[in-house]
Amino acid sequence: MATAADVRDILNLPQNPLGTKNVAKKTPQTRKEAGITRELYQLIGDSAPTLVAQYARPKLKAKPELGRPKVKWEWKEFQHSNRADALAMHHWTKTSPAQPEEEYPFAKYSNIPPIAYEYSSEEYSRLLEDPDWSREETDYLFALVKEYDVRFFVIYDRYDFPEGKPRSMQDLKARYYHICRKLIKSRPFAGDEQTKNQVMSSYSYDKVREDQRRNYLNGLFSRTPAQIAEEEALYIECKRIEQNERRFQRERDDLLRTLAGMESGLASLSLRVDDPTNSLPPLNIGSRPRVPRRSDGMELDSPVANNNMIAMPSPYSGPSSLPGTGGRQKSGSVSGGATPKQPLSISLSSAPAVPETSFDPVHCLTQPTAPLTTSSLTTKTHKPVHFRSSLIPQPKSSLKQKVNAAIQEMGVHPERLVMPTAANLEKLEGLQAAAGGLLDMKKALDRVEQEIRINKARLRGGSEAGETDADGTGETDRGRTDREGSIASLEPSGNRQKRSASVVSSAASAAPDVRPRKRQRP
Amino acid sequence: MIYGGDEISAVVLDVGTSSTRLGYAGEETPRCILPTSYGYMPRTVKTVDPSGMEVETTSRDLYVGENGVGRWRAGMEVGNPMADGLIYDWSPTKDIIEHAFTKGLEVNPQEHPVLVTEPAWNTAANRERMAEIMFEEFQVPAFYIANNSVLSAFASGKGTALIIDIGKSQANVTPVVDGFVLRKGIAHSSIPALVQNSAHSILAHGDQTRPAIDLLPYQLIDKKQIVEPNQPPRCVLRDDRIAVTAPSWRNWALQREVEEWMMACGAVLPREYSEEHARSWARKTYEFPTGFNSSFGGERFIPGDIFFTTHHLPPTQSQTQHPATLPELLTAALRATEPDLRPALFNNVVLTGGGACLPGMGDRIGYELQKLAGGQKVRLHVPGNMLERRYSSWIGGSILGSLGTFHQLWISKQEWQEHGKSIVASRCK
Repeated sequence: MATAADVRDILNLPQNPLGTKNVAKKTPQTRKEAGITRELYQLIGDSAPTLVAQYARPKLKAKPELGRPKVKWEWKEFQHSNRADALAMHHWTKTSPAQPEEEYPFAKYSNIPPIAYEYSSEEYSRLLEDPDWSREETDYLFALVKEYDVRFFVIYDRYDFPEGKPRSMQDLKARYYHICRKLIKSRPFAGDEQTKNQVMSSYSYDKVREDQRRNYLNGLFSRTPAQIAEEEALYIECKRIEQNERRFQRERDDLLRTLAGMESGLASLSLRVDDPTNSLPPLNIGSRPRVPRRSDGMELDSPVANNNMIAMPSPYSGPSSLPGTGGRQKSGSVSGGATPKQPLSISLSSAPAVPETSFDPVHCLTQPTAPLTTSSLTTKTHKPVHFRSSLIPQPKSSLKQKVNAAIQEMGVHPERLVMPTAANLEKLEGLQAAAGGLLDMKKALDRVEQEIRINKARLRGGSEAGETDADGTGETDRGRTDREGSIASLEPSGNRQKRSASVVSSAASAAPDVRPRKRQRP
Repeated sequence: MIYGGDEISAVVLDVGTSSTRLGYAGEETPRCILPTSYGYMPRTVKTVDPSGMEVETTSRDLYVGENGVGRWRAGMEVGNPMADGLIYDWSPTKDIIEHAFTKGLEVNPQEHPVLVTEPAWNTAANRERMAEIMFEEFQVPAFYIANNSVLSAFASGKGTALIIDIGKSQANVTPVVDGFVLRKGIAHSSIPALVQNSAHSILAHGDQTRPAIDLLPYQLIDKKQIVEPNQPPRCVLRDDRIAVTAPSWRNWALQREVEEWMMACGAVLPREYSEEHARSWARKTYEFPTGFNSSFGGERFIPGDIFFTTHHLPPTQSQTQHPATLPELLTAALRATEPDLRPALFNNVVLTGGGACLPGMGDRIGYELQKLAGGQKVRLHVPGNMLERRYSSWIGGSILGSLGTFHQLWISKQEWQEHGKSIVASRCK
């Protein structure tokens, strides 16, 4: 480092400008001022004392006060309390004068109480004798169980009893759990009977079943890729056959119903087969969005994903929706589809009772079942909260008076439904429909009778010309007044009488029964 | 403290066939990595008999460490104390460990507890010998020996795992349950050596596009000139050195050149090997120390494929006894485990070891596992960091040795003196 003397030497300046020779004498005076680096001070030397005053210690930003005392760490020896020996290990710890002897913080994690059972000699001879197991081998097993904390995979791996039988893991488990159960049973138990049973059941081990399960698992693992592929293909094939079958069934039923109508006898049955909730359980379960089903029904799921779904019953299927328990007819379709041309098919279309509600008698709940996707009836899936009294069915306004009159005639007050329960509403609806049907029937009957009469008159007119004309009209008039008078008096002869009687009886019972009407067909 | 760690300045020692790793427990990577191979100069060389008898004598000068085997010395032979992944020659092992302690890590072993690793098929005598050396020769205060498969599982944060460890001389598949090795499921074979041989034969035999390659190490080459690809090399050899080079060193150097080539060019196809598939991948150019350079296409996938099939071996060799391939090892290991355990193992497969660093190895192992799994879900853990993949057993030892809950398991010197060798087996399960 260049000193003041060197600089003077370079600049050809005389040494010691102040003329002082004694350097050693000066040293106490030329004490280095704070704030000047040593190198700079050496350059300045002692020739610029006036400058020194201008140098001040640079002010640094004050350290933030964190309110924490200084932490000191030390390399400290410690003893592990779980060790039997006096191994001195060292680690870095914060110095704390207060606690000189502290337990090693990790020692507590290693004090695991033994979970394995132990038995005395007396207990063994009394309870635990087994012809298959010697005392020594049982002891060996229990020692291993204790050593490896009941990890049976490891126990089985390390199990090597000299001159012992080859044991499977199931053998070891069965022996161990059997002894545990015996011990629990024989020893006094601290808790009540229920907890004792719980503890007992937690030690239950069914060796036969476990063996079966193990064999099954082994079989699963030893499948070749070809077998796996075949299994998958079979599953898919099976599903396709099932879906095809269902489709054929549905189409055949549709066809039958179209061709044979009522006489096919399929009404409720075929609709139940159509029910998608009944036949395709995986589609309605689970969180995935429901895919609209194509008509050919080729919607396949992988076998793995659906294994558990298949076993699950559909919530809306089963015996709760028995046919005929509650046939709720659509009033719209009854009156709307009632054209005078086909009076009989009207009652048909409304009669097949689609079980749309299932009733839970215990909780008095009526649940709407899933709507039919294949039905031609209107499907309104969502119904807001409502009073059932708002659902009291009303006949079509044009027929309302006549229907009400007909009902009233049978001694039922049409406007007074005190308790509109689901069943009552159904009955009322059925009653109204039946009354409507009755009126339609009457109209048709009138027309037919009129035609008959006209034709008869024509026939007679053909044979006898003049005087029969007055008789014919007279008869016709009388008949008309009779018919328009009352239903009860509507009792012509023969076949006609029987028919109307059955209509009345069906209206009175108000049950949408199919059978009596079926007989109505000529 | 937060992570359950409490460092007591323990040292982890992991001796492998290729390298010996040493470092402080609690650190991420080993501080010092030395080749396990060592050079030695027989003192009584050129006397009566330069055979194995001389090798066994203690009168030889050992050269260990970075400047040991890698530096050319006239007449220096090369030895390796490992065979089949186990230490069989203890006298150089002591020197290697001492070198690692004093020169590599620069510590006094008397002040540090030492955690040593062992392969799953280690013998009881071997681990007791290791304990003896540690306590008697190095005077360590505490000692523990842990299984390197278990440590690999710990390094990837698993207690139960199926470890696939592909080392330099041995590949092994080991099921680990709750930190215990299932001894019945251990399967290991010397397939890496076969892979190495096949890589050598690929390079040593030319084909229509390139001549046979002379695998000379750079220590024996004086000057070289840049040549066009596939042209014969123009280099000046150090004939003075070649004349006095020991055959074992020459072989060691040759194997290292093959390894270098494998590291640079070798790869594994994601599916079964097929010529056109292999050719569709990019070629790789590699220059040898002689200056010869060539680009390698489909052939660079063949050595990696030998890990999986024996198709590439000449028919005489494949029909005779060949070391088990990785799928065979996996099958053997899984067959020996309980079926109840297999889903857990398939879910926790860990790939580790130097051989696992071959590009594409993870994908291929996953593919082979899927074939074996029979519809089971397979989850393969392959560390992305190559250092972690190679040294996962050391890293697991580093984790274990720095855990506060582990410190009660150390075998202390006092216990060693009281109980003798039997304590090793009872403590290190």
